[in-house]
Amino acid sequence: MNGTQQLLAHSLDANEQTLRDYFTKTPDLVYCHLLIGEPKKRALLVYLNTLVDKNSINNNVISPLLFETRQINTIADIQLPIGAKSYATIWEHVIQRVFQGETALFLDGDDHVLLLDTQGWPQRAIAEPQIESSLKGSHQGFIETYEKNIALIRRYLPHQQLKVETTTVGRRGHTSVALLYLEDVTHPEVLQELKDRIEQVDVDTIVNTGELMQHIEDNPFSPFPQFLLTERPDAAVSNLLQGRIVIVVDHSPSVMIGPMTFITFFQTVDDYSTRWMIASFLRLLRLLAFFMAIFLPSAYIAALSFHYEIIPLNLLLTIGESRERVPLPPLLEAVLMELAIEMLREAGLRLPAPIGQTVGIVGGVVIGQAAVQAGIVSNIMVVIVSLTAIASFIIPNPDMSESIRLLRFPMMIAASLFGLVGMVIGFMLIIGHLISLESLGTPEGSPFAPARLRDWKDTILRFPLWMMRTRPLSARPTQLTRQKKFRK
Amino acid sequence: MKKYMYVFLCFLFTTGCSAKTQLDDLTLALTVGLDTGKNGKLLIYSVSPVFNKEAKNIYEVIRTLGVTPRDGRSKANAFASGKIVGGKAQNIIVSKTFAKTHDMFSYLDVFYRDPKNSTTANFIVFDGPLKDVMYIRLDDKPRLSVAIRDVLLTAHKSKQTTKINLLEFRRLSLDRAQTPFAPILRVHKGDLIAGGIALFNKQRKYVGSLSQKESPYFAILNKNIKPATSLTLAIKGLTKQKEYVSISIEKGDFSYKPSFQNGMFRFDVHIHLGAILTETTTHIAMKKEKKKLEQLLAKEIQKQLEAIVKKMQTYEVDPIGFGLYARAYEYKPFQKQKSWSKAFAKAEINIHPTVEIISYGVLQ
Repeated sequence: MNGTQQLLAHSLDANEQTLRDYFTKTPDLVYCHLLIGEPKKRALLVYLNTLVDKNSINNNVISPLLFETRQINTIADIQLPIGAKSYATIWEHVIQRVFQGETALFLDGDDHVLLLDTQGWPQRAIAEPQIESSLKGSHQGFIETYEKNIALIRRYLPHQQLKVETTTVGRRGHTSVALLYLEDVTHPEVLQELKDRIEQVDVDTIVNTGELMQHIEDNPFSPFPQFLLTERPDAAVSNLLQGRIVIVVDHSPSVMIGPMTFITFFQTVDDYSTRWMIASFLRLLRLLAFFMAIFLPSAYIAALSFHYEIIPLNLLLTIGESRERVPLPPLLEAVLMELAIEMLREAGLRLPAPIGQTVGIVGGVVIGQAAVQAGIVSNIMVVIVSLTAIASFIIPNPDMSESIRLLRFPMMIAASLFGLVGMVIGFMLIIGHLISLESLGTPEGSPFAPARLRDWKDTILRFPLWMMRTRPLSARPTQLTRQKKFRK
Repeated sequence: MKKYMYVFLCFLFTTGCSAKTQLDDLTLALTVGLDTGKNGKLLIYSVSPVFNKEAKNIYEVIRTLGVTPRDGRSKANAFASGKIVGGKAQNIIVSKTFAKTHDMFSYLDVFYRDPKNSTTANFIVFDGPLKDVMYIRLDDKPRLSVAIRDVLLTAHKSKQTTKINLLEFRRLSLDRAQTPFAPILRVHKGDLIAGGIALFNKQRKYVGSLSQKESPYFAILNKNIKPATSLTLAIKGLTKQKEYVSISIEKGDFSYKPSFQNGMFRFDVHIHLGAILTETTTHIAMKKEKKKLEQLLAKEIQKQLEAIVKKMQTYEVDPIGFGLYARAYEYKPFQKQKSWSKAFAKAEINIHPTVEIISYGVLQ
């Protein structure tokens, strides 16, 4: 059948025939013939019984229809105890809605169809976020149904300025995508940019939010993420209030937030519910971890290959002793160990939890002890690799953590080729790239480049909440005041 | 992306790979020793750590005969297990006999000129032939180079000797108003001992030394009393018999006042020392006799300080840097002097120390 844009027919039989032509090999499609009203009139109820709530259909649709005693002339006469209902006249709409779990009610002699919201599909209960756990934040995480996800966000912001715009992406999947933003805060240009980009996405379907992110991000060749993916409603709300846009994608338990800045990937919701000194300390720790994760192995390689002078003598003697039996040059030793750690991590991630522990033990014993005793790697290298791994795990955002882990390999190669000079070149390239990076057309390096001193209150340190009275400029908010000065 | 590729390609042509110095392939000369050898040649020792469990010794000593230190190193490379480098040199040791007869600068030149060598190595004078220290067996100590450094630093902290690195040695040597000095190391019954101070003249030759006992007073004159300078003084006069009093000097105020009269320099040195009484061998009623004790201590310290200044004047060396004050406050006469050392030897130096006991412990 082609041309789903065509209109429905008046005749029920014709309509049913069209349906049967379209839904071939669809055993879960139910055709339920009914005679309703006085005098009896033929009606047809069509739904996919795998996607509907059967209780709702039986109680709220079929039962009232069977006991209908009034005269039914047009479909508008039908009164049903279901809130969300709509009418359609075009086949495309009907078919799409049926596939989304709605029930279509056809009435003989009417070219309108009543679409009833009877959706009910297998879904997960709202549970604790798995990836981004937190100590003080809420224990509700997003799930795979986007209505529920929007509901979770609305619970925090019951305000008329929180706008939701929905659209669909994908020719086959018709994945629902909702944009949430505060209308009086979010900059219209940024919003328009995002809408344009989503509109241009022409794919089969979006299986996960991460796919949509890759289709619309500013620089696909950057190692750094330009959108934040989170499974935490509180994180989403916190970003909404900073003038950012939250993109909720159906079927996906993580929502996407943009535009982002580089430093926001080092922040967590916990930072704001912890007292400011502790939060600031944790942020410094994370920045330190960032540098350690990128530079520690390369610094070791550079020092051992070029600049033995910069190592204090006592440490030099220790390194010399520990490298005594190691047959590999520092670069190979480091790459070997880093790859081993990455493999362990990946293995632990993909394996089911009970076996995952075994990986940890095997890895710990093999790498921590056997490799050193066998003289393949040195003790110092094990310490450095472990420190690097732990440093990369401290970074709260998994996307950022992964990109940093990736970056240390080119850094190691640069260090082994050019020593500290290579490291400096690598660092400069990273910095240069970061300050030129954009997220939804806004500078990702903000508030460092361009320098916006006022926003530094919420970057390396987290100033006390009562001092942060304005929203960050990075998302170009149209309304800056976040709170009044109420504390002396 | 293309842009980045070009940038990266440019880097490939920069230096790097050839300048590689893999730690594993190096022999780190941590201690370099210079001594007089046969036929007026130079005997060069280099001590480097060995990282090998199968090796019996944890450090190797290489001895070569050459005309200069670099010549010696080139020869030593012939039988070292890795390329010898001096970037981590900790100690440069010269024997006393060598130091007496040779201008140090001709032999230290390579350490200053080659930027790959460390200029922060300690410069040490060894009392005796160098083979005594190079082949010493220290079973209860770490590697020789580390042991020498540690012994020296500890002795320096307790003011039993002093400490100077190559850079400071050069600065003092080149300054018209000063002369260099160096700590003395010796071996006594199989033990390393650092104590005393070697004094060099303007020609960078060894001329004499201060004993270990005089070293704390040298430190005081040098305004170097931190963290604390400990003295044990023999005084008479409180109980009519010889008694010992130990003090630990915690702080000091110094004033060096130079003046020039009748073709002679004159220095009035006022030193006010704040000391803690740490030990006495007799009972002193501190409340009553504090003033008296302070005066006795000051007198004893004055005696010692004057003695070492006298010694320096006889050797015609000025390691303290009296010349710096002369140059600063009496520039014209200073400038006219042909040799500051000669002028310093003739100068009149009056030292007036005062001692204040700031604490006498938890006893009455």
